[in-house]
Amino acid sequence: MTGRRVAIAGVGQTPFRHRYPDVIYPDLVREATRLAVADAGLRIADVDAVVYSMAPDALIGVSHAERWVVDAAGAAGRPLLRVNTGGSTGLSAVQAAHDHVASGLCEAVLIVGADRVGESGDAQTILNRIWDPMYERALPLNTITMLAMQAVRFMEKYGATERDMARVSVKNHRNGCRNRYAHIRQEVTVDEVLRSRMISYPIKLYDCCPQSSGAAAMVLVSPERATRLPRPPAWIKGLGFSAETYWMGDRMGPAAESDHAESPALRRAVTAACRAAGISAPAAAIDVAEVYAPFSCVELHAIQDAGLCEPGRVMALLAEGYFDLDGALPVNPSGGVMCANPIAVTALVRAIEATLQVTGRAGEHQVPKARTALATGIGGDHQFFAAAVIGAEP
Amino acid sequence: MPSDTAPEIVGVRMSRFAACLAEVSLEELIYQTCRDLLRDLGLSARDLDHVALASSDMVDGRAISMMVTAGSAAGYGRDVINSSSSGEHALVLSAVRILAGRGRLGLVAAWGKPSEAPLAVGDSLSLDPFYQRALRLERTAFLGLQAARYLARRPEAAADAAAVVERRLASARRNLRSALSGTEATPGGPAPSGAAASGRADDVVAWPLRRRDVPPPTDGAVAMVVATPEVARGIAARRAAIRGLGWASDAYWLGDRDVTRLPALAEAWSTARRRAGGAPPLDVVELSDISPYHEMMVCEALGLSGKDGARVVVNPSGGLRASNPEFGAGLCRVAEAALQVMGQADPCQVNGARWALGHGVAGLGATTHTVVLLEGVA
Repeated sequence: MTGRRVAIAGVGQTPFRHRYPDVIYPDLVREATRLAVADAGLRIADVDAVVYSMAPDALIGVSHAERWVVDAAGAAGRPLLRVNTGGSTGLSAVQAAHDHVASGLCEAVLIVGADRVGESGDAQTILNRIWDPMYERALPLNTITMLAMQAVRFMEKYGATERDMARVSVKNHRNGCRNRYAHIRQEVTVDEVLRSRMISYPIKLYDCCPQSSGAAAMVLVSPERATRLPRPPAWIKGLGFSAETYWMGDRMGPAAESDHAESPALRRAVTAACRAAGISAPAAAIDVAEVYAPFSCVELHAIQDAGLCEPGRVMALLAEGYFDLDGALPVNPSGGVMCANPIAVTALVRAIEATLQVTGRAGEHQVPKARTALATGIGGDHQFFAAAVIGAEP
Repeated sequence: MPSDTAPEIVGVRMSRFAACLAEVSLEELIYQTCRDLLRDLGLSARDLDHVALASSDMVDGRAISMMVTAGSAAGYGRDVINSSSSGEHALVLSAVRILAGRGRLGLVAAWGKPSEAPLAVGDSLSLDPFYQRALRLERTAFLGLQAARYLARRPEAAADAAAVVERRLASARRNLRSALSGTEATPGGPAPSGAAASGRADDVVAWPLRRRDVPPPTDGAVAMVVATPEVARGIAARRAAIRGLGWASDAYWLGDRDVTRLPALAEAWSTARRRAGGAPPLDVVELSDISPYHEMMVCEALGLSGKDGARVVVNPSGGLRASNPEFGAGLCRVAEAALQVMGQADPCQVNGARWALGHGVAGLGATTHTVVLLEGVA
């Protein structure tokens, strides 16, 4: 990247839960802000600007909540703007904040957001409203049925099975038990996954993410400010983003613009991020990946579309333990989105976990000697794809 | 911002503005505006390395509304980002990206089709659910509260407000890009939303505001292409260089501030001036005049109320009377300011305009402000 380098000085997360009945929304934001700013060894007065990470307004029942949280984010009288690209919002917010600093306009920028998906009533009813009211909304689509179709196509094209999906779930739930911020901290077996309630074939209950509430934050600083931090920071090495078509129908049938089994835009986003980081072969250069995958089937295609293995090899490698916490290339050591999905900050948490890994602060789910990490995000109807390469060195 | 790196606006395009553009869908409105802009500049979507949008789920009536609108704005297959805090924040996102060295040529777009949106309901839902929402306040009530306090501080402002409204209406009727273009419209134009939605121009909608004082919302879209100076020179002979950029938010609660002043705007303007290396001699200001009293507050915060401000032409386009697409109106003001310094603002061109400021505002109680300081370059 050609602008000045950008360091990740501090991160903060609340524990993710189904509900926070005793905390109002701005107080979740206030807590994540406090944690990240303190982690950076700064005071809120040291922050020049805030990028607010918030996806659909309807999930918390307050429209334009970025205004409600101005005081809680320490932004009164200061620059604040909100980024919203659906599930990829958290990484889009990292991109925006990165540019605030890399441009030379700011020295320290806070990224913060919160969500109350578990308290939204029925998140899938809300998420049905992301589709066009004239054509596709009535199918009825939601993020589960949409990705069930994607899974069926992936199984057909690459020979994946429900058992392969279950192995993803087993791995991630095992990892989530080691992450004190994870919403779901419960191990499952392959048989338990296969026997769990069918939600939308082939996705079963234990293939699904939870509906999570909680907050997360990150502080980015300039190289000059990074020299005064209490500990060595992580560094943003590369960023990428690419969009696919909005229409489900454009991904199916003989006239499909892209194959629903795959995500060419994820490949483009990761390629762009890796190119900026000077990486030509992600599978060799990445030590650990936090891949946005709210359902087990998504992780299967996301791993190969991110270039972490050859297409079609992911099932065999998964069965060998290649992507386990102690495997050759650990994927989602935090438990990933399957163990916590506070939508507004889910992709931000991927970047936070990548930061903790490359700075050796991931605790019980630390990957030994992790120096370079990949974080990805997916937003819209499997439409927006974001990627960030985060490293221990500038 | 340094002349060798400051992003430049190479072209702007605005749709037709009207109280209701029933003949086009939101997607078509955005598509036609962006397509026409790229065609005007001899560009194709493939030339763009990023797209920066601004959308409001509440105004667009969808969750994650940029999903359907990104494709209309050349976003398919490209690097897209979207702000949901204010229309002109799309320009901020593109500008910082170019300054960061991660972009060379980007499309910026914002829009609003409030004829299809229950704005008063959206206003109510944007209030915190514990204290304010039960009061059933909406935008007109907030405008009235602030105007009333301003009138208490400056009783002579009532006469000034009436004169300002007439000037803005006259300008908007002259502007070919205006919702009131060529009309002899009833003062106040089409019916505003919420409490101001019906009645005569003299009716009080939220004391001291009368119906004519509140610019009615319009449907419409605005797009602009932004580039590095090097790339910009190859596209357009006359450009608008972004010399200063500032944005800031005020405290959320009305009770936490003097509502007759706009400290966030003062802060944003101070930042923009610093980034420009000082205060340039402004020729034109295109500001978001959500009420005539707010226009006076904006002029105070920008320091235009004294003798030094006398030479500045304010809202030659007619301001929000000309184009007021909910959530995209601030970017329209920046577009009009850019047209002025590019010498393309006929028939409301200010002769010799070199420096212009565009201002956007968002939030009930006018809490979020953005200023973009532009210099014409050729």
